[in-house]
Amino acid sequence: MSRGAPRPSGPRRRAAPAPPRLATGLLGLVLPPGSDGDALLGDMEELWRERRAGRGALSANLWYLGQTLGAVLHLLPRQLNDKSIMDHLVRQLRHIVRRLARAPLFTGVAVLTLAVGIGSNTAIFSVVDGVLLKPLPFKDSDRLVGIWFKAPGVGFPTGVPDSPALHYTIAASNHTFEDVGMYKIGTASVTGVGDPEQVPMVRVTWRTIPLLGIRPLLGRTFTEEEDTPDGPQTVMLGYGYWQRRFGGDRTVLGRTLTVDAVAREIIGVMPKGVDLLGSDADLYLPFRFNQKTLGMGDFSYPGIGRLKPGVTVAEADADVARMIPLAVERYPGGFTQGMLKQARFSADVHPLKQDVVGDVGKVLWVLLGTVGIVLLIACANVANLFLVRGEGRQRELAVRTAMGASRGTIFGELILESLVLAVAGGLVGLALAFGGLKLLVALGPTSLPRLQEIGIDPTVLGFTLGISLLAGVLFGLFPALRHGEPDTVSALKEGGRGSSAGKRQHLARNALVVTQMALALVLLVGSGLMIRSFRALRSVQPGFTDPRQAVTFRVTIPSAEEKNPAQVVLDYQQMVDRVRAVPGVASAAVTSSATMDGYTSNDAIAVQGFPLEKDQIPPIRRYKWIGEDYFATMGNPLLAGRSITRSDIDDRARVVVVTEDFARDYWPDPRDAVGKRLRDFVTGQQPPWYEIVGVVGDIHDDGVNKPSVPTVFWPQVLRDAYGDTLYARRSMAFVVRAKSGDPTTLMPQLRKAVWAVNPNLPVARVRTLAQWEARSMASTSFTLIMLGIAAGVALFLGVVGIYGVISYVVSQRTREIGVRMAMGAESADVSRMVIREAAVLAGLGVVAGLAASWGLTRLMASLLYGVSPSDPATFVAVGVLLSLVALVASWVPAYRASRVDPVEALRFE
Amino acid sequence: MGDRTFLGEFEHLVLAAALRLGDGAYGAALMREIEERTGRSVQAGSVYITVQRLEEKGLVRCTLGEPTEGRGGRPKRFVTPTPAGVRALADHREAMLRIWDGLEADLEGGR
Repeated sequence: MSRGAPRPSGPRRRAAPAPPRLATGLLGLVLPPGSDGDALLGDMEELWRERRAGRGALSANLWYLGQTLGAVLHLLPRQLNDKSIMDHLVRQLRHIVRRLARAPLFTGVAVLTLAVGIGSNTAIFSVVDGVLLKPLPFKDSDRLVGIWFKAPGVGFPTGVPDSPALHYTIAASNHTFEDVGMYKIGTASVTGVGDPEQVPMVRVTWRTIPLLGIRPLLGRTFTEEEDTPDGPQTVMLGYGYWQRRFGGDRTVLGRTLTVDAVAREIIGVMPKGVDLLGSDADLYLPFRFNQKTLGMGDFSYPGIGRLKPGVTVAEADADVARMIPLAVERYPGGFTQGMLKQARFSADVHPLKQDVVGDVGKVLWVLLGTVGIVLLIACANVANLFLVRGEGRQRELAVRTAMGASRGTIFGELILESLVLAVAGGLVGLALAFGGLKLLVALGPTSLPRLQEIGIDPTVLGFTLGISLLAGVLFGLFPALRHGEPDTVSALKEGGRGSSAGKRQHLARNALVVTQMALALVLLVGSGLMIRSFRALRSVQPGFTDPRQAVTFRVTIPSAEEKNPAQVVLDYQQMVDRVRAVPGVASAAVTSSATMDGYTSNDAIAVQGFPLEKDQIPPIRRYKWIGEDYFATMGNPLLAGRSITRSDIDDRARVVVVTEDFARDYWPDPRDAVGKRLRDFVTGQQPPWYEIVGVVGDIHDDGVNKPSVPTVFWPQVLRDAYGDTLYARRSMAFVVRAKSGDPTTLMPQLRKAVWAVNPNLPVARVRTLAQWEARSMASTSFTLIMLGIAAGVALFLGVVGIYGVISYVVSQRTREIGVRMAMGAESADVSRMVIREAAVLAGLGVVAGLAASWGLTRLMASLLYGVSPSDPATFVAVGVLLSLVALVASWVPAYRASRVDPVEALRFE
Repeated sequence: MGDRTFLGEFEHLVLAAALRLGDGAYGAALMREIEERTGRSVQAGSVYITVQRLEEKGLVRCTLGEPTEGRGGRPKRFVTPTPAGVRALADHREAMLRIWDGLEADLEGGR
């Protein structure tokens, strides 16, 4: 064996088997250029062949992969330290940048396409990260849990809040918590300075704020005494409110503030940016429960707890479950042990993050999947661009191979080029994401939690870099594998004009287009289903009509303002009379809660003639208390009987109206409900019966996307069995329907009408019915918009892809077409031929896409309303639409092909 | 002990194998030789790095051969120990023997 000077490796035989190309390519990236590295590749191939002959291809390939990984690990650190290698890399990079700059159209299109893909992923990921992944902004937040309950026996498989009786039992007797708390988000009115104001407020037990690890910015948090009925009256301010109302005055501590008509001492100010469990509260008040009079019940307050170190959620859950019988024992007079057993009442403790994030997780994961698909489509497009361009470079690469460049070197260079493009795309994408995030937050459902925690931070940057590199490798691999091993001889022989730079080349491009079409179809089906859901939601009869014409606002009369319940009723009546007199008002009414405004109240009901078994839980129904003209103002039709009238209210008549679904639960024909009687269910008591005088249409009180809620409408004032005690509702929503136009323009006069009766009452929560309705559709419209944008981009890229491929095919076959036409083919035949080719690609894409959609749309089932995830109409419509679009896209090149002049085409050769 | 060169574990294996193989000492042959004699599997990457390191220390000299069939038309890189390399190997052997001297009986127990 002779030892000569280094010399380039010559052309190789193609027929012989070769080790896995991907691994060889990978090695090419870490090996120094030149013959030394080639010798190593040779050593490995030699041993690979030996092994392959001896132990079979699989064993040889596995060995080769193992060797490759080992070599990469050994060589990479050395490479990075080697100055000459780094110089080489820098030189190569400069070369690549120069080459890309010489093809500005190619580079621009590739970078922009990638930027759209990477930018949308960055934007959505930053939302996912901020909302779902980041820990909550509390100290040791992984030890914080939400203390909830469930009662599957009565239709609450989850989501029953904590109750005071349970809270105090857990606080006294648990073994697993360091601390427990309870809170409730609400509003409070502040009077005494300027216009009365209704502000967001959170009630807390005294341990709640310290439990979360929050230290007040000024002053202190509540003491145990302040959280009892007889303790001193105190209040804490939110940072925003302190700035707004007191200009950030640090001497605010010790001053009094009149909240809900009670003078309270300001004892502390919360720090900036504290978002206590989704509430951006202005005021914090202690609950002040009276433990002596509590009974087991009143499941209305979300509980939170801090686990002792090392305690699991499951252990805490078992511990809380153990508290349930204790609470019944310690706080008698409410639910009995038998009732709870029948309801299958038990603990449901889970990480606090689940409470904060809520349902939005599903939407976000679907969106992340969606933009992931957009990125794949973008990669497919760029890979296609590369293939087209690569054909032009075939000759150059062949020449370089002939001059001694190794396969690995060329592979490495092509991958490096892709990476440069991908990183450029990533940078532009990052800029797009900045803008996109602003748009997203603006479009985002108002219920999107943790909004302030969304932003581009190191995690997001890492993600962007990661997907950029991944995308670079993904779309770079195609051309690199194609050209990493150029067919030197034929490429040189044919002068680089490859009549068929290979069938395989074609196949790769066609496969990319089919993939693109399929992915675009998945997104189109997704948007189609969302459109159908949206339309289904729009057609729901929510329990009101013309919601844009009606405005609602809330007025609360605290007992400190007016003690006498009879006078409270008169005050509301005077207000509503004045409101009706405002010019432009068609009708007006008061209610404890307008449909969908979120002020829900539920209680146990008893219907005459339907007695309960022993220990049977009474049915829980929604309660609302109304004045006269309510249904007429809302636009909810009376199906039978009559409404509650002003004289019913004045006479304290014992009458109620129920919804159709309520009536159906008891009587086959809902109209039969009229004349029947029902009453509040109170253990051990016999409250007076109320007569059902009317039945109205169903109301979707929990949102159009939720089922209707069986409801009882009571008069706004009730009297007890003996008639000596009156119970008047003290917080009423006004519903005002305008004759025409925007009802909110009437608000100044409406406020005046209210204040003419009592100038101390804040007019709060001004919304049109349409706004309440939109809130319940927010997540659907948000998903619809985002999916729509994604599908639009996907469709566009898909069309560009198929157009590009067909145009390219036509340009490559100009000569063939010329010959055909010279032989007498009609131009119609030619365009038919071209379109047929496009139709095959589109058809394959549509079929593959429909199959993929069939599997994938299931994941979004929970976001749909009134439409199945495999809705045939949507699938067919989208399939047809995409096919048509593809055919239109191929029409232009087909037309061009039909106009080929045979003489020109042949001369061209 | 002045300017003597000490060999690492794997360096000494590669160097000894190269000495034994003589004219036929190149990457794949070295790997085969070490695997057969020691029974441990060898990474091509570490042989490559070790040869490079030995060359930098002046213990071996490398030359490239002709492109060869049966290895994708790639050349072999032949490795020849230099006189300094042979001396380092001799020193290493002597040190090893001195270290092991008289321990044979104790090793029996470990079998």
